[in-house]
Amino acid sequence: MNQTIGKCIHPLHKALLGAVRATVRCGAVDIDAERCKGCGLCVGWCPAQTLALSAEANLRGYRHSTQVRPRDCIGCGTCATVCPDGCITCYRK
Amino acid sequence: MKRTSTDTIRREGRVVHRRTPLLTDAHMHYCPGCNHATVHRLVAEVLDEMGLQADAIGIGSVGCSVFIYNYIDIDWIQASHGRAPAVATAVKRLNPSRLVFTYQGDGDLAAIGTAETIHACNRGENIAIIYVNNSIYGMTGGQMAPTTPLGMRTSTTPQGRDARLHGYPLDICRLLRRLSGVGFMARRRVDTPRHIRTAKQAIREAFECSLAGRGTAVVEIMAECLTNKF
Ligand SMILES: Cc1ncc(C[n+]2csc(CCOP(=O)(O)OP(=O)(O)O)c2C)c(N)n1
Ligand code: SF4
Ligand code: SF4
Repeated sequence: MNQTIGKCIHPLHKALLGAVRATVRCGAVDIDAERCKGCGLCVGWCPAQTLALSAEANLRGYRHSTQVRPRDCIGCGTCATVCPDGCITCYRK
Repeated sequence: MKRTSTDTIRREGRVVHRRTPLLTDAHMHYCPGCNHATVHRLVAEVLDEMGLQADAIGIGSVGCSVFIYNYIDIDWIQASHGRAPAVATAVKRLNPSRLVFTYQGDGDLAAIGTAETIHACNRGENIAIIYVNNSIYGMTGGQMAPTTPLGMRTSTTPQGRDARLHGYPLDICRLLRRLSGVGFMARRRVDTPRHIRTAKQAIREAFECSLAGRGTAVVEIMAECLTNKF
């Protein structure tokens, strides 16, 4: 899994995202923390690196995904596309 | 440039992705990150987009995905191990206008159910087969399956699969491809966002093929079992 996560932090990718973030596109996500199993796929794939696993566990004992840098979210929907459990709703302005 | 607050985006923005209503509220029992859950979600999304909730009949199989009927809100029949294509044949022949599909693992489809699979495909039954190949028996503890690649370590081949001792891997889709009854066949992965989108497209094409009566549609999804593969 770590291998897959490494893939999305390509420098070109980062530069492109910087450019996108500086323009009008803005997004937001809602994460169902109780449904989340903390697999980390959304954290690893988020191209703007806005997500992280929480310090405290949810009711089932999983460290769930949270958005730590909401203002950086570009609303691309990648996190929702990879989430196996369908925990994420994604919006774009 | 002034940025919009995230609450405004939630209120006024468009929804890029939301959990499809075809997925029930039940908490899926799969291990964190399991590809079965991803494929369940894709199947539910495709059924939702095609408006088939009332017209689809799924045939579940035995394996980790045995509780699929709890997770996708359509009609289901739970077949015994390997027999899903035979059950699907009967259901489709009795309900020719409905979309009938099976959801099977590799131990189910390519080991105990090899005969059912081959003959359903050879007869060209108008069913769709969603085949999730994680190349081991996930539910029973990660034993070697016929599909396990050479050299892969499993709980019953701790030194890796050896052709002299365990035989060669079975690529069942290469066999099925030669059968005239097969109308659509695709092999996809769900390891990256792009692959997940193409897998979803393949599932949609398979459903369209079987609804149009063009023969058996098979989608093989190469999957990971994050718990039992080492
Ligand atoms: C007739 C019969 N034989 C054996 C079993 C035991 N059994 C349960 S699941 C399974 C393997 C399932 O493997 P697979 O289809 O690859 O699904 P996965 O769990 O990997 O998703 C076996 C052998 C059974 N339930 N019924
Ligand atoms: S992909 Fe889904 S289940 Fe996995 S950590 Fe993210 S929100 Fe949780
Ligand atoms: S054991 Fe493997 S196949 Fe079964 S739910 Fe867990 S990760 Fe998925």
